[in-house]
Amino acid sequence: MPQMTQPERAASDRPATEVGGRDGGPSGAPDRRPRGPALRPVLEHTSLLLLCGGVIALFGVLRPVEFLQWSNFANIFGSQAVLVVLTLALLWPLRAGDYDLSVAGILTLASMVTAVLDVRHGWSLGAIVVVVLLVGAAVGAVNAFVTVVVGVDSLIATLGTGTIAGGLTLLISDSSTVTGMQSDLSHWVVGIAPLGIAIEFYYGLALALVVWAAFDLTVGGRRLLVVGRGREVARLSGIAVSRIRWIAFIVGGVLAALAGILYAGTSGGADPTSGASLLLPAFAAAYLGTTVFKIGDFNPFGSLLAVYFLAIGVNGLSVLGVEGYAQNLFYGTALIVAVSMSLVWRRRTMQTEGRA
Amino acid sequence: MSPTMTAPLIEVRSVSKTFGSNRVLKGVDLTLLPGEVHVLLGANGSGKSTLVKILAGYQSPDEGGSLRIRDHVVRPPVRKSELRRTGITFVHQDLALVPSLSVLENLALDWYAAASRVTLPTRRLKAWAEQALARHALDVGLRTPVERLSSRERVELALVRALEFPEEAGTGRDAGGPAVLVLDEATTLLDASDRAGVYAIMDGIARRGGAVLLITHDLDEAIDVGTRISALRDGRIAGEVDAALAEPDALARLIVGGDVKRVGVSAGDRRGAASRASGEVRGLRGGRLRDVSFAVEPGEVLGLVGQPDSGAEDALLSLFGACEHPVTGTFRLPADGGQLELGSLTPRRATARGIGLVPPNRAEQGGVQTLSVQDNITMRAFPSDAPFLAVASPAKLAKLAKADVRRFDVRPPVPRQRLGTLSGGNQQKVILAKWLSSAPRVMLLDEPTQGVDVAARDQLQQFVRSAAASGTAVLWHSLDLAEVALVCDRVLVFRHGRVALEMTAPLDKTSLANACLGTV
Repeated sequence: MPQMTQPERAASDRPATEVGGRDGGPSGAPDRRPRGPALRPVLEHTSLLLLCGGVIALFGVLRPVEFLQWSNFANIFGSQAVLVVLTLALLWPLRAGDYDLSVAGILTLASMVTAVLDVRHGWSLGAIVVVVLLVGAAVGAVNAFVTVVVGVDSLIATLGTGTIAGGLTLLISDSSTVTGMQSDLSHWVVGIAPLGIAIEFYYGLALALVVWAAFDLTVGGRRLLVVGRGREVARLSGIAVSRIRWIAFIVGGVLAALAGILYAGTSGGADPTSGASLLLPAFAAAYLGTTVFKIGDFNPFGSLLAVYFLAIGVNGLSVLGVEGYAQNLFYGTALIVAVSMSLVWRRRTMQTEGRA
Repeated sequence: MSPTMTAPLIEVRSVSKTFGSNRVLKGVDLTLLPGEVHVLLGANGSGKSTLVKILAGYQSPDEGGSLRIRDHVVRPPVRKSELRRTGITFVHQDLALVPSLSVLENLALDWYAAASRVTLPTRRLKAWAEQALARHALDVGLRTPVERLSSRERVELALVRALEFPEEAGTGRDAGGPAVLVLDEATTLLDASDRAGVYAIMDGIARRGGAVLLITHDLDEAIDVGTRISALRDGRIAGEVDAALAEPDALARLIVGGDVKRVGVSAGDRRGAASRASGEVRGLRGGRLRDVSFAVEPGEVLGLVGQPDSGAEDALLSLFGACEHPVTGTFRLPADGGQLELGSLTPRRATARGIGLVPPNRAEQGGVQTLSVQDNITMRAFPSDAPFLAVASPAKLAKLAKADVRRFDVRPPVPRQRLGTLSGGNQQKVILAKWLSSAPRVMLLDEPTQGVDVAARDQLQQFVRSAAASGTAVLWHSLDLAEVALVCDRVLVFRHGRVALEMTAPLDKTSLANACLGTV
């Protein structure tokens, strides 16, 4: 069931009758909320931020010299831009109620197309970017066709297209790493910008702002939310459900391709397995992001924060000298904890609101 | 009668329940006697659900008060094993059936849950299930998946499962005692004509010395099938009456307290608007429908009624492109709204032309439970063809939502609150407000007051009437004929996929019912 991606679903499965048995029905009692400390909702909406601070404090105490240097943080901020953009790409289909497992495959393919067109064909940067974004849009369109028109479960459809994208990557690269890019892409991606952080960090920040505006300030963004939460309600309200899902998949594909371009710029080339290790962190960040700011919603700033929370955790562990496997343990745990937390939170909100 | 015969099966004495600072139940007394069908009425928020949850052991009442089951004092929370032992079973509105599993598997769910053995005595289980279905005259195949059953069959299956325990399941149920069945709004989703089987089962329980506690919103149902009726209001039992002596108006007063304002059909309302161009449905066919044509006047409330298979509902949904069968025909919209081909109509096209629909299934189709009241009520705040990137100002949406919440008396009046936490009546106000705030040309209503308490029902009727008064053509489909008679100016009676009869106000339930049955 594709809709199960929504952390909201668990709550919606509950019978929609009177929860706790009272409302402002005929008795006319006014709405009374439990008078907890006023701080509580603030804490709930920013708990991840506090957790982030806690993690920084912890590693800061354990390894003040290595961990607490600005250069270390500049490195963390700069090194996560690809994951930020990939997560922002993933948010689109997720918000529309569809899974997209192909984003990592699109990223790999996009980075490889970038590298091949540059190294082997000497294309100009502008032309490369246009073509690569079109490739992302094309894969997104295939996703949309298979899920929306044919009706295949999005989980299966995007598993397939993601794998196909991986195959195409191997085909165009002869299964090998491509390096030695000529264009000044690297300059535009990892050049040092204010605060000594790589410029791509600011791209991620700007994109998060754009995605936020698209989600919260546009008609389409409101409709995207309704489609993701209640597809049948959306259809019967005259919302063009199919079109919204098409848009979500295609924008997701384009942004994933953008992440691929950043990847190529960051590493000065592409390897055929580049994106594979980014799929799980992207999902973890997207879900972890639902527990902060706009609880229950896939939201860009929550995802942004989640990416950096995860990165700080991984970085701290490596400063402590923990081996590479810790990264997988950390990301996997974060994904499960994030989804569990958003479920628990949702249940509680539904209950307390109902009784209030 | 001997004392043991008249001893209550369930006796609730001055039970209270408080959530935070909110006292939901304030010293409720309720007895369930052998041989009775005891109906519990009450508006949403009166405490009905809480009372049922206490009986079912989901919640504990406050200190003080007592709960006795078959003459034994029970310490809350009531334990599942206690309920099993004493033969008290519950069927809730959601029925708790697993749609993808077969009838047999659903019947045996309790068995699976209780049995401690590894292997299943498949053959014996099957024989038992066949007998169980036969005992309650439910004719469904054991292997049929529940999702393929009609809603009538599903409710009956849930009842059978509640009443029958496989002996071997080791449920420890005291097999001698007659059953006690609590039906928590389980009949709400059934058409009136589909309830006969359920009533027969209830009757059987009562005749064998068991008892049924029926929770419902339907006053007619209460009077028809109940022996005794109790009304809960603001957490107290507001009154208890003998069903044989009960009158709907008196019951409504008991539930709401004070006089209920009834919407009168005011001829003046519509005559003012009738001068505007009328609409017309022509040659509507497909599915059950065989050449249906009728006029639709702006400013009128037009009732579509008929037996569930008469096509009345299909006709309504066809005008929104939401009928499950393909149809053909044309719809010339009232107030010069142009012509629509019904064969290629989609909900999107319908809404773009100013048609709105309140669908029958509130939770799945009407509103998004997990979104806020604001997100639901402003869903139609933009034209259907608004581009994706058109600006949606949050401040403007909040203002719109606030105004609509006030105008349509949504309680609590908190736009941020999630729709799913509102009572059924208030959810329905939100769903209706979503459409009416943009003054639609045609408003289609399918069972708009189903599962809604009396007070909210009256408000919903008022909102619909005033929308009509301002020029909207309203089509109202419902199986609640008393309500149709009350609200509609004109009624089309469907039989066998055709409009068999047209009736105009003054209307009454009996003549409508006879017309539907073809017994005029």
